[in-house]
Order: sequence, then C-alpha cells, then structure tokens
Amino acid sequence: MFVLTIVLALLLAGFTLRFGTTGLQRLLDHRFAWAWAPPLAALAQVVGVCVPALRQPALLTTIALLMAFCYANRAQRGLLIAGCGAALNMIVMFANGGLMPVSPDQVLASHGVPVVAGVQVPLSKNIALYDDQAVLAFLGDRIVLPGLHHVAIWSLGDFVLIAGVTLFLFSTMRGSHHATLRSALAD
Amino acid sequence: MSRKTVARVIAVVGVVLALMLAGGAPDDFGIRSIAPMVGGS
Repeated sequence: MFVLTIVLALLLAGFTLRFGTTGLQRLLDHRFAWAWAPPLAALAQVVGVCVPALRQPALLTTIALLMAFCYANRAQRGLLIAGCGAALNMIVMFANGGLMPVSPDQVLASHGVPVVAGVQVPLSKNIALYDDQAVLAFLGDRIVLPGLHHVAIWSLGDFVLIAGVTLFLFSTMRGSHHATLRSALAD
Repeated sequence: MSRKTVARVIAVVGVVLALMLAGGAPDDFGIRSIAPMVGGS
C-alpha cells in the first residue's frame, strides 16, 4: 500500500509541474459519481485483511463497489481502464481464496525475506505460492522493475490500474480541448 | 489555502487513492517491516 501512495504522489507532483496550479484546480473541480464507493471498497479490503473469515465476502464487496464506481464514471476512460486493472487483481485474488499469490523466490530475491510457500503474509493481501500452486499465477504479483527490484513486486493488474489513473489525472488536469478554447476566448 | 480547498483536495485525492489501494495489490517494501513475522527457512 505504501508504494501505491508514493506512485499517486509522484503522478500528482509531475502533472502539477506540467500543467501548473490551473491543472490542479481542474482536478479539484472534478466531480466523481459514487465518490463514496472507493473509500468503502478500501475499508472492505481492510476488513478482509483483518478478519480472515470475511475475506471472500469483503473481496466480493470490493469488486462490486469498484466496478460500480468505474461504470458510474465511465465518461472518464482512465477510470474504466483503472477498473479493468482492479478487476484483474480481484479475479486472481478470488481464485486464490481472497489472497494475491506471490512467489516465495521473488520475495526472497526482491526483499531478502525468506517466506515459506503457503504462508499468508501478515497484514497484507499476499500469500506466498509457487506458480504451480497458484490459480491464474500469471495475474499474480510477479513483475519486478529493473533497478526497483527492492521496492515492490507488481501484478499485471497493478500496471493497468496505474495506467488508468495516470490517464485520468492527465486528461483531467490538462483539461479538454473545448475548455482550453473557452479559456483562450475569455482572455 | 482555504479550508474549503483543503477539504476538496482530500475529497478528490482521497477517492483516487482509495481506488488504487482497494484495486491494487503490489507486494511492496512494507513486507520488510513485518519480516520477523513471516518466518521462513
């Protein structure tokens, strides 16, 4: 979770540098439909992590809330793409008992932490599983970025999610062509 | 920055962050802080 917060902070900083305070203001003026759904989905994930008995219901709740949010905001293509990324993660987690599989070998190589296969990483969404033990292992956490191997192990869904959020922030902070024209004409 | 602006920042950025935290699942460097609990060989 730390790394996603940092990614968002970097994206916001980068686009603010690119588009200035006008871009930031455009983002602040954006109105989400169903804005309460993502915080509730995040809360459901916390419940799923803290109460193992509720893991699958919490995951289903998360999926439903995130998909509803992305559909309600489908005018923003970035949010639709982000929803697809979240769905990829949720599908593989649901197929693995509500947990995201990560290879013990990659955890050792990336973080220097030895983990036993089958062990759930405490207070996280991850479970250590080799590829032949996991369902849909190709959608699990298995991608390590060169030079950033010690930071995180990513899934395909994580990249699609970040790409969607990046597109949303870019298109919102840049403003539409029509808005730019209106602004120019007003000046 | 006015209170209203701060509230708006929290509202907008909070929704995007919640979307990322709920939908994303990277195994990140937070794992090292709980390494003693993980066990292993």
